[in-house]
Amino acid sequence: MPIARGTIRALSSEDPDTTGGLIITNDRWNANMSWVGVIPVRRAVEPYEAPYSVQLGSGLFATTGRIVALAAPPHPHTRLGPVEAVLTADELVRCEDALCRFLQIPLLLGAGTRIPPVLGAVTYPLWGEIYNAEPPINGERKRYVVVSPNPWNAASGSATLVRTTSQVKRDSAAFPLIQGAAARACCGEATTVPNTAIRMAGRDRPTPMTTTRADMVSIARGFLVTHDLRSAATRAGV
Amino acid sequence: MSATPTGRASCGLRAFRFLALQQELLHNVRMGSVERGVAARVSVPVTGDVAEAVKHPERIGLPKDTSAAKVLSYAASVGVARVRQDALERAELAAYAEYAHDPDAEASVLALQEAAVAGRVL
Repeated sequence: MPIARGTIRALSSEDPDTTGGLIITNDRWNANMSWVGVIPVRRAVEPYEAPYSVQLGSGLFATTGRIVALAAPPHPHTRLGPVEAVLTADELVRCEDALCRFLQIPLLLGAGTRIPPVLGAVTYPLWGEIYNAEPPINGERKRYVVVSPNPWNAASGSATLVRTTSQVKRDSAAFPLIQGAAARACCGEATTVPNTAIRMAGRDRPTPMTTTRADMVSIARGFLVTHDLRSAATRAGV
Repeated sequence: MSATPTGRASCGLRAFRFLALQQELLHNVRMGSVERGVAARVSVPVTGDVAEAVKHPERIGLPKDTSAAKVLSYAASVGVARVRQDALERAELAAYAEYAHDPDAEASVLALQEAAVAGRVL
């Protein structure tokens, strides 16, 4: 069965509260790639994730702040199982709107770009900054841009990352150019990981250490394509 | 005209000027008609599903009494939007195909997937 956006699949997880995964990447992506964007569906949510969570008709919660990219069936390392439910149009709209807010799209694409605030002492990964993360890939640590808001990163102990690459040459909104056209952001790979997987010490930081505001706007536009959030952005007035 | 040495030459010059003026007039008229035509009116054969939609606008989500002109205008705009979207989607698919060959992509996804599981994100 094809992987379809808006369906909930069984999800093999270490967390007993996680019961499934809502497929959220667009269906062109889902039909062509070996991994898909997934919003975990849980029995309960923490207070800090309530603003970015949607209660479904089943009573479960779609937690957009925990968005991940997971290997898709029939990949041998997939954690996704069979389809368990299909969201109603209204449920999907509410999930899209919550993800849109989580990814700061109204702030970035609205009139007069604003930057998410920094809270307290910075002991967490910052939105818009570039970090290396564990584990090394093919012998080297990769660079990732933090796209989750700072209050989330501070409260949840996790952050959502987007990898940068210089391998993709073809121009596409799904892989926006950033860092002065030196790299592209892989928006479809957005994954939330614990802060402990992110190397935050100054000596471990790559150069450049941060993106520009224009880079983050480009990444937001990338999400509109990869996660099919154009309608949500329109609903948000941007 | 008075500087022309012979009647024949004068006649030729008159003819030339007349032709030039005619060309200019024709050009202006043609330009105007082309612009109007592209912007608002063209004559094209209407067949198949489109002809059916003109007879039954309600089948494409328009009110039953929608005029043929409005139905055709709507169908044309939807068609153009679809063609443009197709072009964008082809470009997007081409980018996905190139990205799928990024040697780090799959390894990165799998590594972060396991980091998320180990960190109880999911």
